Amino acid sequence: MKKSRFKVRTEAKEIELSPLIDMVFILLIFFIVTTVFVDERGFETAQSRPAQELQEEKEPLIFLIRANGRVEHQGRPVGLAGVASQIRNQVGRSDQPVVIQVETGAKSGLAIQAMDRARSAGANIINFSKAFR
Amino acid sequence: MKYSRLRGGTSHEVRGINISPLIDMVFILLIFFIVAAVFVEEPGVQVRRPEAVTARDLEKNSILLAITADEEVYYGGDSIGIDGVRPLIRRLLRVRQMPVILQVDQAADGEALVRVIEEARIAGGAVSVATQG
Repeated sequence: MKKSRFKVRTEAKEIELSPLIDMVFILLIFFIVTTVFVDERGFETAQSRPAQELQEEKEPLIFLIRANGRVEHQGRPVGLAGVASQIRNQVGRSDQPVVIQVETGAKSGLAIQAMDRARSAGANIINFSKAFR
Repeated sequence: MKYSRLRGGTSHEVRGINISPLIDMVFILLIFFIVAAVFVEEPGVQVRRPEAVTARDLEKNSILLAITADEEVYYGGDSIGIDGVRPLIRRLLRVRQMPVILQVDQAADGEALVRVIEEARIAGGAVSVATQG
């Protein structure tokens, strides 16, 4: 009688942990399998603004990316390097909007690089647009 | 008498391996993976991104779209086409506000890039362009 009571007490002392561990392991494996490490670098394109705000802005600097890989500004070929210098020539006005017009057939890599050059020259508002002909 | 006591003692020690450090460690791993988990659908295609110097780290929780060199638009491993961009982003943004990241192949047509950006904007997304480095 005395012995059996002792036995009951020892059983109560040990909590069964294995289901808990099983569950935690399952959760762990689920999260290991589903975790995706997104490590993306890049830059934002400018947000479109309300119409009245656009009217107050100055005339944008327009660069045209041609299908043959040339970069033109006001009808003259300036090249990728010319994008930054043209923007810097506008006396460092960083609120000057820049529009990069992309002709059909032009490489998007060139358009993105032109945007990168414009950003490095200090332009803040840069947009892509289709070239209208 | 003596023998049985000895055996009882040994089996008691074997039963009681201390597993609390194991559980602690598994819990720490579990918490790490829960915190690090980002549930993002990857586009599932490899693109050659253009290089840029002004790139910065982009938001981890975002909608990842890819534009391949042959102007296919991919989301979550499926080709959705340019026309599928607007309804997809509208549907995803209804659940949660997050930016859109475009992984653009540098050989892709620039017009496709401009059209995808426009479609994503109409759907209400803030568009970023992914670059190398």
